Amino acid sequence: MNRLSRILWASTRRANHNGRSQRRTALEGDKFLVPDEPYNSKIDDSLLSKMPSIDSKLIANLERLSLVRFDSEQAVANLRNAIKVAKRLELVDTEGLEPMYTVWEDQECPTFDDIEEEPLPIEEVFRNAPVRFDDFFVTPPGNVPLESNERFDLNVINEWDTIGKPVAPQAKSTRLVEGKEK
Amino acid sequence: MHRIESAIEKAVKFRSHGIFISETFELARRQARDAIEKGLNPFPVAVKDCFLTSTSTTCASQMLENYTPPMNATVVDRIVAKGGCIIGKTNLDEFCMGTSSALGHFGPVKSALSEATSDDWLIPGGSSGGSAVAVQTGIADLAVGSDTGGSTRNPAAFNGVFGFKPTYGVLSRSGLIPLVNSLDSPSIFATSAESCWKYLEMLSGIDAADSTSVNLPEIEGIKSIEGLKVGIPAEYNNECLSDDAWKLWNHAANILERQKAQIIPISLPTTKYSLACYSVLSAADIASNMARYDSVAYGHRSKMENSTYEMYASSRSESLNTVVRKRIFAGNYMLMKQYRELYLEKALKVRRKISNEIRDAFKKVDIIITPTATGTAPKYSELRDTLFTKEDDDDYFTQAANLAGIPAISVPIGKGCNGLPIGVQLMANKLQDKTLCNIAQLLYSRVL
Repeated sequence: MNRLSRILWASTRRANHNGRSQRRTALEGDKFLVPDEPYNSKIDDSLLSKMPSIDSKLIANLERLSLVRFDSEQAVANLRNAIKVAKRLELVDTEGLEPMYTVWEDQECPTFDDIEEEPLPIEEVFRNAPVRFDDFFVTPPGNVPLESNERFDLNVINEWDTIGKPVAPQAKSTRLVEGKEK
Repeated sequence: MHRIESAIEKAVKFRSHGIFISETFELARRQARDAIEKGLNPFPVAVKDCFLTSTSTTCASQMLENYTPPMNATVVDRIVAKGGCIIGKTNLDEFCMGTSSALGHFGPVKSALSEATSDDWLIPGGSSGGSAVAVQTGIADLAVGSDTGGSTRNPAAFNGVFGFKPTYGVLSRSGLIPLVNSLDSPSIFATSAESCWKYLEMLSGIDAADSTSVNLPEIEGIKSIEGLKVGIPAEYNNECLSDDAWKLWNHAANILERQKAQIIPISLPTTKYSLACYSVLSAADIASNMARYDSVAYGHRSKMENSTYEMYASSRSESLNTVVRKRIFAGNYMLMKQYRELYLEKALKVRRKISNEIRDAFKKVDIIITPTATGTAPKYSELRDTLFTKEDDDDYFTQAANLAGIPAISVPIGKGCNGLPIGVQLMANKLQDKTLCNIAQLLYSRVL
C-alpha cells in the first residue's frame, strides 16, 4: 500500500468510527495488524429446517433413557434449545469427510500386559456405598418401569421462544465440604 | 516448609472467596516433610476437585458430596513425587460444565480481584475457577485444572495468570473424572509460561492407565521471535469481542512484529460452528459418562426407594444441578437411534473440518494468536441477567483447540479500561508444546 492510500485508509477508519461504525481503534503506536472489521459469527436460525415439536411421548422416553426427571417446562425448553443449536450443523458442508472420533488416529494403542493386580480390600470397595448388606450393594425392587406422568404444558414448551418465562439458576452459599460455613 | 505454611495462611485468609471445596493442610505439611527428606524442594499445589485424590473428591456436586476415591489421579501422584504439596481441592463448575464457577454445590468461586459481597461478585471464569484464583492470590505455585472447551484458558485470562492446555494426551487423564473423553486435557496454571513448561515436564510421560496418552518428543524450542510466522484468523474478531480485547490482541501482534515476526492473515471459516459441534459432542459423552452415577456403590442416594429406577431417577434429579441435567437430556436425545446420524455423526464430521482447517493453517504459520475471551470478567449479576448465555460467547474463542487436540496457552497481556485483566491465546501445532511456551514467555517479556 502506498503512503497516500494508507493515509486515506486511516482517515476512512476514523470517519467510520465517528460515524458509530463498529470499526476498531488501535493503541497508540500500534499498527493495524488484526482485521478491524468485525466478522459476523452469529448463525441465522431462519435458514434451518423446521424444529420438530416436543410431545409427551418424547419427554417420557427421554426421562427413562436419562434416569433423570424434567423439573419444569423450562427444562424441556432447554432441550429444545439444544436441538436448535445442533441443527445449525445442517449448514456445514461435510461431503466426503469422515467422522473424527479422536485426536490420535494413527497412534498405536498399547494394551495392558496380562498381569494380576491386587484387588481393592473389601472395606475400600464398600467405603462409599450408601447402603450395604453383608458384602452386597443394595438396590430397591427391580423390573418396575420408571413412571412418567404428563405434567407439562406442551404449548408453553414448543412456543418457549415467544411465551416462555425463563428463570436463571441461582448460586448456593459458599461452604467447605465438611459443611463448615466459610 | 516456610512456603507451605505461608500458602496455608493465604488459603485461610481468602476463605470467603470459595477457592477450595476441601482444604488438605495436614496432608500438605506431611508431603512437605517427605519432600525435604527426599532432598526435594516442597512447593504448594492446588488441584481441581475433578481429579481423584484419596481425600474427598466432589466435582462440586451433591452427587459426590461424601465420596472418597481409593486412588490418586496419575498427575497428582506425579506432582507429589516431585515435591508438590497439595493445599486443597479447588472449586469448579459442577462436573466441569460451565465457565463461571458460580453454580456448584459448595457455592461460587469469587474472584479475588475485586471486593465480593454475598449477592454479587466478579466471575473468576471456569470451569477451573478455583485453581485460577489459587494461583492469582499466590496460594499455589502450580494449580492443576482441566480443559475440555477452554476451562483453563478462560479463568486464566479473567484472573491475569497463565493457563496452559497441552496437546491432547500429553498429560494422563487417568483419575480425571471425565467430561468429554476425546477433548479432556489436564492443564496447568502458573505465573509464567516458563513455569508452565517446567511443570509440564514434571507431569508428562506415557501412562499405562491412559491408552490415549502420548510422549512429548524432544524438541529444541526457540529462543527468538525473529522470522516466526504468526497467523491471525479473521473469524476471531467477531461481533462479541470487546474493543479492549481487540486492542490488546492487536497490541500482542504488534509486539511480535516489532521482534521481526511475520504477521500472516489466515482464515478458519468453520470456527463459527465450533460451538454447535462442541455442544453435540459434549452432550453425547456427558450422557454416557454421567450414567455411572447410580447411587449404588457411591453417590447421593434418595429416600425414594419404591423401585430401582425410581431410586436412580430421584437420586440423580435431587443431586445434579440444572446445567448437568440439561446436558444429560440433550445427549440422550442426540444418541437416540433416529437422531444419531443426523447430529452426532454430523458433529464428528464438522470436528474433522475444523481440525483440517487448523492443520492446513499450520502449513503456513508457526503459531496462531487470538483473544482468549470476549473481554474482561463479567459480574455474577450480569451472567444471571443474561441467563448465563454470555458463557457461550466466551467459549467461541477456546473450543477449536480442544476439537483439534492442539496445545494452547492464555497469556496475560494487559488490562481493560475497567482495570481488569485480558488474555491473548497462542495456539501451536500438535506436540509443539515447548515452542508454544517459549513464544508465550518471549511475548510476555515484552509486555510493559
